[in-house]
Amino acid sequence: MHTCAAAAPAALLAIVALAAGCGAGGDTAPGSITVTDGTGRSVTLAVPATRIVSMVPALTDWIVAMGAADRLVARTDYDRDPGLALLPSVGGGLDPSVEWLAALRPDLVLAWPDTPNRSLVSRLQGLGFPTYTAPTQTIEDALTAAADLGRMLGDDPAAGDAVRRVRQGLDKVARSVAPRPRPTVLFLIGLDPLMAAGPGTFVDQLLEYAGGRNTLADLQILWPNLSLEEVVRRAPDVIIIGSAGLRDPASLGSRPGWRNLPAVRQGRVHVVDPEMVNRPGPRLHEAAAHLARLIHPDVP
Amino acid sequence: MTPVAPSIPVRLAVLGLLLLGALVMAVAVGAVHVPPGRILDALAGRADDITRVIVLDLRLPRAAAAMLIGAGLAVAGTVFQALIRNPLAEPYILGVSGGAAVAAVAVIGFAGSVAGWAVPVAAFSGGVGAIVLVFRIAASVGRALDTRVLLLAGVVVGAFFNALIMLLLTLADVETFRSAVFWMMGSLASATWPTVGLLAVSTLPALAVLLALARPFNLMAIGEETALYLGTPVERVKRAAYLIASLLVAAGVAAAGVIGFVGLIVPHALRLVWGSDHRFLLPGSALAGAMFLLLADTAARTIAAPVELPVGVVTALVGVPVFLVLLTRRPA
Repeated sequence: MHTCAAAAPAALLAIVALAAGCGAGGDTAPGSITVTDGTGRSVTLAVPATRIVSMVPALTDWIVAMGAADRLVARTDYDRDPGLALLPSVGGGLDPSVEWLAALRPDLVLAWPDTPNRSLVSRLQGLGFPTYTAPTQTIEDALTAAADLGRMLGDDPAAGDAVRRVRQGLDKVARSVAPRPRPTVLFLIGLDPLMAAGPGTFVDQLLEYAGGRNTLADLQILWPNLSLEEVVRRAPDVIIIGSAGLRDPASLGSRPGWRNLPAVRQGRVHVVDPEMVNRPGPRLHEAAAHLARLIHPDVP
Repeated sequence: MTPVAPSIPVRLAVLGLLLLGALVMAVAVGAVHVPPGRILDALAGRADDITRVIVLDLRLPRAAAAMLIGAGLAVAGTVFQALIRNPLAEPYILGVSGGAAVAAVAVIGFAGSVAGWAVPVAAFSGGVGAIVLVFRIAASVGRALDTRVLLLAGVVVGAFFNALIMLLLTLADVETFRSAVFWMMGSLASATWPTVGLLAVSTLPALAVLLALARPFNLMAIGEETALYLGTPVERVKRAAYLIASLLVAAGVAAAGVIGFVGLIVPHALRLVWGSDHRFLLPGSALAGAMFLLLADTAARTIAAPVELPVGVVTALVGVPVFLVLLTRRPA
C-alpha cells in the first residue's frame, strides 16, 4: 500500500514532467521565438514574423527603421512613410474590423494596450494570431518594445542597431547639456484647452535629456489640462508648442495673461513639428537634440 | 384599425421572415468579401481556416448578440412605454445605462489592466444598482408604485450618474478617456460564443415572461383601475415588468455598451404601422428589434470597412429618418 501510494504521485510527477518537457520542447523548436509583451502576456512565433499588421504607429516606425518595412502587410491612417503608401490601411487602429485583419493572415499583430472591454488582443490571440501589445508611454517602454520587435523579426542586426542608435544619441544629448542650469519648460500638446506633457510621459523624459526641467513635475497626471492661470502661476522659462491643431501661434498673444509670461517676453516660445514628438519612435534622439537646441540656444 | 390589417400570426410571420433575411445578409456580408459558396462551406464545416474563423467565430456570434440585444431593448422599450404611459420612455430613461456606465468607466479608469470580464460584470452590477435605487425611491412614495414618481426618480438618478461620468472622464488620463468613450458608444465587436451564451441565458427567459404579460398590459392601457376590476394584479405586474425589463437592459448594456434609439423607435414604428395590441406589439418588438439592430450592425461593420462605425451612430442615422417618415404618414 505504502509503495503504491508513493508510486502514484511519482508516476503523476513523471507525467507532468514529461508534459512540461514536451511543452518546453515546443518552445525551443528551431526558429521559435517567445517574448513577454508589455502587459505580461507571452507571445510565441513559430518563425520570425513575415506578415505583420501594425496598429501602433510608433512600432510601425521602428519596423521601418529596422529595414523590415517589406514585412508589413497593413498600416494605419497615421503612418505617412511613403514606403508604406501602397499598403492597405486598417484605419485609425483603435476599432478595426477583426475579420478584415484575419483575412490578411498576419503572423504577428501589433496592437494598442487593450481597452478592457473590447479585448481585441485576446480576441486575436484566441483566433490564432500572435498579438503583441505594449505601452508606449515612456522612452523605456518604446526601447523595450523595439528590442522585442527585433527578436520577433529574427534577431535582425539592424534591429539592435536602431535601438543602440537611439540610446547613444540620447546619452550624447544629455552629456552636451549636463553642466548647464536647467530652465523650467512647459510642453504644450494642445491649445484649446491647454493640454501639456506631464511627468512620466516620453516627452517629459525628452525634456530631461534636453537639459530642461518639466514645470509640471509635481503633477500626477500624464497629459493634464491646464488653465492659463496655472501657466501664469508657474511662469515657465521656456514654452514649447507641439500641437497638431495649431494654425496660428500668434493667436496665443491675444489671450489675457499670455503676453506677460516671462517666456513670451523673452522670446522663448517655440513651435515644433508635432510629428517629431507625437510618438516614441526610432528618431527619439533627434527630437531630444532639437529640444536641447531650443532650451539651450548657446550650446553648439 | 383598417379592415385589411393582417392577423397577428401573419404580422409576426412577416417580421420573422424579414429577420431571417437580415440574418442571411449579416452572415453574407462584411469587411471581407466571402463568396456565398464558401460561406455555405464554412457553415457545413468544410471551408479553410480563415473563412471558418470569419463566418463561424466572428460573424455568427456577433449576429446572435445583435439579435438578442436588439430584441431585449425593443421589448424593454415597449414595456416602459406601456408602464410609464409616456411616449418618450425608452430602455435607458430610468437610469440603468447611467449606473452601468459609471461602474464601467470606474473600472476602466481605476482598475488598470483587468480581466476581460471585469467591465461587463461592473456594468451589469452598476445597472442593477441603479435599478434598485430608482425602484426604492419610487416605492417609498405612497403605497402603490406611482409610475410618474418612477419616471422622475429614474431621470434625476440618470442625470446624477451622467455628472459622475463627466467627473470621472475629467480626471481620467487619455487612455482611459478613449476606452471609456468607446465603451459608451456601444459596440457588438466583442461578441463571442460564450458571451452569446450568457446573453441568451439572461435574455430569453426575461423575454418569455414579458411576452406573457401582454393581456395585463392591454388592460392597463385602458386604465389601471379598470384593469384591477377585471382581475389584473396591477401592482405585481408593474413591479415585475419594471424589474425584469430593467434587468434585460442591464444585460444588454453589460454585453455591448449603450446602444440608443432601438428601444425608442422600434415599438413606436410598430404601433404606427400595425396598432398597439400588446399581444402583437411585444413579440413584434422582439422580432423587429432583433432585425433592426442586426441590420444596423451589419451596416456599421461594412460601410467604412476596415474601420467599424459605432453601431449607435447607425441606429440613429438610419432609424430616425425612417421613423419620421412613419410618423408623418400617420393618418390624422
